[in-house]
Amino acid sequence: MAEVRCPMCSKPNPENSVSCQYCQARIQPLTAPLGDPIHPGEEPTKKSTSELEPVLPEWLRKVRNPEAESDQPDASTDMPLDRFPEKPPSEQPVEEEPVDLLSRLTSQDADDDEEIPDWLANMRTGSGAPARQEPAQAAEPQVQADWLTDLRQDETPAEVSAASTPENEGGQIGGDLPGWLSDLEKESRKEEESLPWMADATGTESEGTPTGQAEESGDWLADLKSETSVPADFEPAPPSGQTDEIPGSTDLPDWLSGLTTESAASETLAEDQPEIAAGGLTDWFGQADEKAVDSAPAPEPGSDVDLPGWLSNLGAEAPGAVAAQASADSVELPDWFGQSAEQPESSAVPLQETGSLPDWLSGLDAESTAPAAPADEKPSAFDTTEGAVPDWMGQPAQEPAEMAPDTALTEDAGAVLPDWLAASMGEAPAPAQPAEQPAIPADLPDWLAGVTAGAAALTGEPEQAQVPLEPQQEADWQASLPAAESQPAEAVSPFMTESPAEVDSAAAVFLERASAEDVESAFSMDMPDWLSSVKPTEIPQAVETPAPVDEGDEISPASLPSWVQAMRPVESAAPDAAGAVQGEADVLTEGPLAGLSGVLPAGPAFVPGRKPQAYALKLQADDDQQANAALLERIVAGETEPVPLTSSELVLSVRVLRWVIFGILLLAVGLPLLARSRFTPVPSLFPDETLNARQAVIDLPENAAVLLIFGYEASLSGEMEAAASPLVDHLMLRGARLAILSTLPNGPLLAERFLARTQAGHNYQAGEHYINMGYLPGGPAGVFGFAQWPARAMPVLPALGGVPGWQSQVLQDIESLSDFDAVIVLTDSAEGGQVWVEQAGPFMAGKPMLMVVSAQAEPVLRPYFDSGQVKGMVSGLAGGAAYETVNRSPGMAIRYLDGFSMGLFVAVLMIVIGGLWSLISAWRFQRARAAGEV
Amino acid sequence: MTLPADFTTTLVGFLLTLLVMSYLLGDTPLFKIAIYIFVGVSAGYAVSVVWHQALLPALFVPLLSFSGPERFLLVIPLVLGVLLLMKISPYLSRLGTLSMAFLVGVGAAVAIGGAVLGTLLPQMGAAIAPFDMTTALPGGFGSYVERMVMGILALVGTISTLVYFHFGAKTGRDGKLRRSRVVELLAWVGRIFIAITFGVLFAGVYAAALSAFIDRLDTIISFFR
Amino acid sequence: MKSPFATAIAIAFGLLVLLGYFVPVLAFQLIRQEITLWAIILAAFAVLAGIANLLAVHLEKINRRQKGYYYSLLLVISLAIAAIVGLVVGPQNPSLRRWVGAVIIPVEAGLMATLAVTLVYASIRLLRRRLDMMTVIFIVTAVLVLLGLVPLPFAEIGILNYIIRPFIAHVPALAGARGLLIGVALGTLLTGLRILFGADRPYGGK
Repeated sequence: MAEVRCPMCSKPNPENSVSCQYCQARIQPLTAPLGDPIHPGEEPTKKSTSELEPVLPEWLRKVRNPEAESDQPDASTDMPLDRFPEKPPSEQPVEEEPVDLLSRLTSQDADDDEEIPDWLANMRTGSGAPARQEPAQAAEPQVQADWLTDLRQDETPAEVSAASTPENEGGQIGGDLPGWLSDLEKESRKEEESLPWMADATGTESEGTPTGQAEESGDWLADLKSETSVPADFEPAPPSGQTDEIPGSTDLPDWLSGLTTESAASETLAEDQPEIAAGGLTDWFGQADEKAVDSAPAPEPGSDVDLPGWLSNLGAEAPGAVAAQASADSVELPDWFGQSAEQPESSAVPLQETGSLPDWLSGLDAESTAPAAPADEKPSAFDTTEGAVPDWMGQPAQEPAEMAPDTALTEDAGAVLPDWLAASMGEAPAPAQPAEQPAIPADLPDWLAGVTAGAAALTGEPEQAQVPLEPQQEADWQASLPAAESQPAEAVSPFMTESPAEVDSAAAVFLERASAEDVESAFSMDMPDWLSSVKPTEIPQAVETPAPVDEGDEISPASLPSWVQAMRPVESAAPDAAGAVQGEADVLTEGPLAGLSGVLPAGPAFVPGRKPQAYALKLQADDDQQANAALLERIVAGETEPVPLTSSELVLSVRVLRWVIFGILLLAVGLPLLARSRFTPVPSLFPDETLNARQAVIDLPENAAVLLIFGYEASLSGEMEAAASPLVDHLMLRGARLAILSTLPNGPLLAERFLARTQAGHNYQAGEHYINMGYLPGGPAGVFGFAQWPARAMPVLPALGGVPGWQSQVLQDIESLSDFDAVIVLTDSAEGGQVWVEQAGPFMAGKPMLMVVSAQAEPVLRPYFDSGQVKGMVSGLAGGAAYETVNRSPGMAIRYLDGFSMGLFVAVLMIVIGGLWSLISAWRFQRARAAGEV
Repeated sequence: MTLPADFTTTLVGFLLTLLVMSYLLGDTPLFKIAIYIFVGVSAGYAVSVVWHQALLPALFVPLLSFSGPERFLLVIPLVLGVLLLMKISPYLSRLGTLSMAFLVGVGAAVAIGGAVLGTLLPQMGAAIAPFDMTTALPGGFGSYVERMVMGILALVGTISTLVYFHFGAKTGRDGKLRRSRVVELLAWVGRIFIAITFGVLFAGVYAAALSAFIDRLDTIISFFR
Repeated sequence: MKSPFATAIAIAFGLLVLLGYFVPVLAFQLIRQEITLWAIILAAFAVLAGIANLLAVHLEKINRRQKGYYYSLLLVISLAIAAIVGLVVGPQNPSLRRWVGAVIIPVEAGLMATLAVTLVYASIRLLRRRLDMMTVIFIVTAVLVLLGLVPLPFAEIGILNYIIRPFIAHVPALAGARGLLIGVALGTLLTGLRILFGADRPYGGK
């Protein structure tokens, strides 16, 4: 191998290149090759393993021989070489002698071997196929109609909805592209746009819809339904079988022939099978192909060969039946696919078929859920196909974008599938296919291009797929893919890469695992459990929903079963196995791009969801958590418990206590008010903040303009009026012009009330001595706006005496906030004061900001006084009383002082006495309880 | 500037005070009547205030009568305001999101500016101000010492209070989240300061409530006089 | 009006206002001024919207004859009267002020007055419900401050009025309050930045 093709751009690179010279994509995988790596473009070494055939159990040989003999092809005769223009006829794979151990198994139909389906040809050339396919497309609708009608007759209304699922529609609707398919197509286009590598693929995608596939597929389906008494639910299975449709080919795929020969009911089927082979893919496949043409035809082979990890993940979650079939079909699946292989009991049969199940297969079993489970997620299509469709199958519907590319691929794949693929597809439910397809890039890397060739080469041995027992088969096949590109003929035998010994061992493993019964059942037409469980009545429903599609116009994309795509070995995805050079990090092992190197790993969100793990029902909680849970439980339970009688007594006592408190307070406060007494000594020392406020007022110039902010609610109007009245009185005595602004809707009203109630003696006239500017909405933003430019924030003020507000004597010289000689904020809340400090403070330009605050806001606002942002502060009734005392102008605060002092004193007494009583009673209660417990 | 003695309004006020005080008997219908009337009147009055003192002078009058290009800028708040009113309708409420976004965005910016310039920087400066030895004090050295002690106390209180609300923690060896010992100690000290602060706040709230109680009682007494 | 546009609006106007704060360029300050003016007007609309919502809720209650709908009826009637009269005569009308004041002041102040009773009761119960060091500190502080707020009846206790209470208010309480203020400011800063970064969208954008 002189050069290595980049998996991303398909351009040749030096053999030892770590990354592509053109696109910088990583060429050499970081993961160490599993076993003997297969290099893209490398010719698989043919190894004669036929001699090992005796190793096979007798039953196996019996199974293979008749088929091999009867179907032994004139491989080359039917091979449509024209589909592979690049390949010289001489290179066409010709199987004359079974070299491989299982070669006979694979080749049941000579025609199949040599016949290269259109989709393959298209994939390679991208041009050759279209011409042929078009006629086929035209033929499809009619045939589909037949089988569709059959199906529809059986449809039950209940399942109609399910029909929307990809599988149903795809399989049942011949000419029409089901909605989901169209969706997929759209999505795939989107993906192409988003993913460059996929965008390239669109161009390469061939219109290669299988010719005439639909015709036979329809009949075949109908026959299958009627004669094999396949459970309705399994109906989708036919679609899967349809995947085998090979355009133009008349050979029945191996797996199909195997079914026909061994099943009693399959006689008719056997007759139809040729048609199927000819038709290759069922209608829905053909349709899918048609539609998918634009999206990503070329990638198909790639999808088959290199299935990204995400596919394997999907497979892991796939229902047992599907996965099992896939595993059975795949001869040897790499570990990455193994996850999906292990499937539930229903899939037991297929599983048993598989010779040796790799670890990943067993893993799949473990993860797979009962068939029914998947149905929930993807009710429609998947339900019909199998009793239980796994979650991963449901995903396609959810993520149509991803599926779209694959659908196209599947269609092609169905046309001419390598043995292992055909076999797997035959058993795999159609629905699964869409899910897997998304991963296929439009850009065909080398390995992908090789796939096409490899596929062509494989067609020479399609029958091999029928009994894909050997684990190495896939590896061989993959190895052959790259080689096929250059030397198609040599790629014919995919099983050559591994040494006979390996094959032997693999076969041995397989044989060990598969019990005799299982094997028999696998090769007989007996329906697998999951198939038999499906009820015929369910079939029609799925069929009904087919969305009308214009077959003639487009080639509907076929969807490759997800399990098939999942068979793509991640390890071999990297073209050059020489990954030793590089670390493992570059090759994704999971996610949509699994197996590709040089790509950014997909985040968890892009990784197809797996079936949630089953967790033990036992709660994992430590003692603390359980204790907390118990506590919560008790609390919740306590809420629902009936209130004990004592509670009513408690409520009564509460009310009584309240009234007692109220009565005491009433007396303590009311008596001084009634008596108009003055027994409380006025404070002899005064708070600094009050003195500072007074001093600030004193420092105001004559006729100073003062902005008075009313920012308190009516609830504390009494306290605020008592606290502010001495300061405002002082201001008025100083002749200050008052601009009254309110930041609360009720503020203007309270301001007028304040003036009327406390300052009536000053004879201040509105417009001349003061102006009520009104309400300033907006909270902090309003204050901020006003602070920046008062006249802009409140452009129109009430005209007093015919003079506009801003031209009045009060405001005539005010243009900015700093033009006020002082700003005095009357507020009952900390927030109200804080807003003015924060928003207006920076605009004060050294002018003092004073505050008259409620006692409840004073503790929080005190830091602003301490920091100097507020020059003075009068706090509550006590502050007002102090101000009045200092100013020697007794007023409202002094009048309230007796009641206030008495009220505080009584309240403190009640709090102290009540608190002590509470302590004692609590102590007694605890003591009594302790005594009771003892 | 005189408050006309309006017996009717005073009587209404007296009755409503009694109705509200009936809350001490429980959530009585009388109390509810007073509250619902209060809410209705307050809201209705707010409508007139907003219209006459905010929207008319700040929006509609300038928009309709002012000259100059800047008045056309008022179309923007008008449109936003109308959209905001759409919030009332469950079907059109989405239209109001734009206006709400504008309000929230501007409000956030204003709050940020105010918090930084009006509180954070000045208060942090005030917290360390006592340690500024350049400031002359009339009391001499003794005043300096006193100020330093008070400043340290206040600084410790401020920091410990902040630390108390710091909920960052690390995972210990046993897997449990816990704060460091220093943080724990400061937080414990902070709890004390917070308890004291809330004690003072409680006293303030009670003083305010008692003032309101006195004022109401004085109003009732005045009514009978 | 989906979230992206709304978010862009919030961020853009918020940043414009912030620029005016911290960039001493006249243009930014003028823009900031204009934007805040719009915010003021919008805030007025917001008040109306809130009241309209209140009205709608209670009208719905009345329509459905829900429990206590007659209270809602009372509210709607009082609201309608106050609004209509206020819109017609204007909020500055002295008679309207008197009547509105006669309703809102007694009710609000009455509610506050009941708090004086309730707080005493709560304080009494507090020591019984929760007895720990912090509770004791809280109660003791409250008692000392209350006693030191004004001179006691018939006597003035200097140590309470002029030493203990001022010390508590000026040192530990001031320190605690400053810590709270700084903490709140930090929270405001972070919340505002989250809004301006689009991380929080309290306006309904998702």
